[in-house]
Amino acid sequence: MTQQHGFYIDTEKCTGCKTCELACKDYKDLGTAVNYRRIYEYTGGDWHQDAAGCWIPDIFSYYVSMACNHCNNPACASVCPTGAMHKRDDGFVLVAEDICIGCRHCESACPYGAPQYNAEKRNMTKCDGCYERVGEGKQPICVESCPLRAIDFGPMDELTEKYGYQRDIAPLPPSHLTQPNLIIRLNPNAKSTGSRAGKLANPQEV
Amino acid sequence: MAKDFPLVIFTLLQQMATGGFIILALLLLTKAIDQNNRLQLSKRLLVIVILSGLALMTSTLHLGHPFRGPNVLFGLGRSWLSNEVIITGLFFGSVASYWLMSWRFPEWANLKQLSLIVGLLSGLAGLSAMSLTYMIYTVPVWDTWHTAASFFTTALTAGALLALLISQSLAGEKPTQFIHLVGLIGLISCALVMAMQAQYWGGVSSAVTTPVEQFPGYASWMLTRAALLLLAALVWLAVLITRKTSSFVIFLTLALVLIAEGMGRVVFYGVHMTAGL
Repeated sequence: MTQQHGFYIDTEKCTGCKTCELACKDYKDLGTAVNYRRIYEYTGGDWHQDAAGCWIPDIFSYYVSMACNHCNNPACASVCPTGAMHKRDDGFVLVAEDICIGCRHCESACPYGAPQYNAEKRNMTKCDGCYERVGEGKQPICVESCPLRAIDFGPMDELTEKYGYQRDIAPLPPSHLTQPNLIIRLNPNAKSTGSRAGKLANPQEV
Repeated sequence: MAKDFPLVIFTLLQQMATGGFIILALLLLTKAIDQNNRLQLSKRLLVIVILSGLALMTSTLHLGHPFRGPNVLFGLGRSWLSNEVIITGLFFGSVASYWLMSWRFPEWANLKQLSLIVGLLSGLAGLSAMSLTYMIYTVPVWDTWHTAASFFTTALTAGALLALLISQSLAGEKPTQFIHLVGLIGLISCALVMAMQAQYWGGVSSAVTTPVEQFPGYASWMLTRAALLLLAALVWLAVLITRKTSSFVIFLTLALVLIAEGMGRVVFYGVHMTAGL
């Protein structure tokens, strides 16, 4: 497999149930402090006056499930002083845990929160795209676990053909920065990247 | 914030040591100081060696695996963090060997000259690499010229005060005045950069946060830092106007500057946010 793979996230279907996050935790045997997949709840609201002068609440909330987007221009790998954080020839961004010195510079750089510091191991860890499963022709565990079929995974050209090329949505960063291998289906309430309309409702969970 | 504390200490000490060394190296290279005093001054550069060594040791405290530290060599050329560490190591090595030669082999004039020049250049390169380490394209709070400007002005201000302390009674009148001038320019620039950086941060936001939201107590920390810088400037000016320089007052000014810049550095790490999550 030498094709670049990526994730598809359907923010219209996702209910924020976090099954993907927990399936990942179970499969990768992660504690509570390390989350390879995180569900960001973006929420906000305002009041609007209609033609009759009546004030109507206009509230929204949607979920964006994020792991690692195995970016084409990964900020984590570009700042890593040891090369432990690296993009493989097949496109997966992995961290060589026996080389990592645990300086957490990648954590400062990644705008998706993918590199996760494991305090017990004292080095960085992250979503590896379940590359071993993918190599066996299976889907990553998060994709398989989703009860709403809101996550898909595959070669980017196939995903693009199937779902389009939308990658920008609040609260994610502008996609031109790191060129994530990610496709988003927009929720009807979706706000644009950098929007100040909403806020993160679950900061302690991510 | 606790995880960045070693880096606050490392950047502060290293910038002070580098600034102090660059100023003294310039005076030594241009022979602005009496020949009789030059050797004595170069022996006092042990202070720079100790400060830079302490800085480097402190920097390893923020690593999960300090003993894997040498792995940073793998990133030479590609990663600015690697470049920073390696260039800072070169700086330390040059200053240490300059001091060692001054102490043991003062007759090795050419080698001493070479290590002085390498130290000067690697000092400047080290400050630049340190700035570029933080100027990451996905981190809007840091990816700005203010980062470099704040590092260089700290180096200039704290460095000049350190240089005054080290060269006390050796530098002569003209060079001492030069160091005072450099330091005061540094201190004024420090305050200006701080104001401009705060204004820049005021315009930065992502969909989930702003720099001010990232650091509780932002306003009071910034105000305290400004007040300390002002106090340092007043003490310094009083020294110059009354012409009553004493090591104690210079040391006091340096302490004020270090506390102010240390607070600035805590804020710098505290406001960290990326362009996204």
